[in-house]
Amino acid sequence: MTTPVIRAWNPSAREENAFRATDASFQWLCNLPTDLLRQYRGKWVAVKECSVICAADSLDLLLRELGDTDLETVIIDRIERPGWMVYR
Amino acid sequence: MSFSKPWRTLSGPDEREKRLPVLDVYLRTAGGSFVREVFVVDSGADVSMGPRRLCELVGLRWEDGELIQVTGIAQHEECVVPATIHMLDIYIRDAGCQLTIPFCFAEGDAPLLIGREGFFDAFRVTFDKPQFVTVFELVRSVAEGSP
Repeated sequence: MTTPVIRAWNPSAREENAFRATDASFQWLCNLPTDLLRQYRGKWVAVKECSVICAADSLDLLLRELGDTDLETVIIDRIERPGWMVYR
Repeated sequence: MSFSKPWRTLSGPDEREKRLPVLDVYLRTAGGSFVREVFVVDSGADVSMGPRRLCELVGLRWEDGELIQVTGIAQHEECVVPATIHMLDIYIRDAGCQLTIPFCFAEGDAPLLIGREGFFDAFRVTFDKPQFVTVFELVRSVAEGSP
């Protein structure tokens, strides 16, 4: 068992505003329509303002394509391929 | 302190819809800003996991971690992946807390997983599949730091 180290986290007002700005995108990402799931299956995606702004085959490629994009303005996600998922 | 998260929708077998428990986790990048990433909550995983590139993103040197071989249920040699384990700070906005947990950065296209070590010691996690929701209950006080 790992004894967890837990600390309070109080983001600054600027950070909290930035986080809040991505809340709608998180909800949208959790309920992606089938056509987008199909389009981005197996991809790493960056989502901003409820749309996929960048997609790549790996996190490395995604970050390269994002370039100087402020990462606080996006959500990074990996969309699994269809099928039963068993991590191994 | 507790909060809940709805499960996400994904394509299952035969393109049928399936749901998966996820949690949005914030990580502090090497540049000091935060990035929000979507992790699968995987009670079957010993330890949390992500790809090697994530290690660099958060400002850690992959080589400095404890080297391990990641194996899965198949236990086949071709399924073994080199990885290193580091202590990583993750930030849970819904709970207003920062956790330091062991985290495995694996070669290849590793998924983003929240596993048991550390995280499940801090949170009681209840998977409610009929409702497609996960309930996270912080079982230790943030003020305590550690017991």
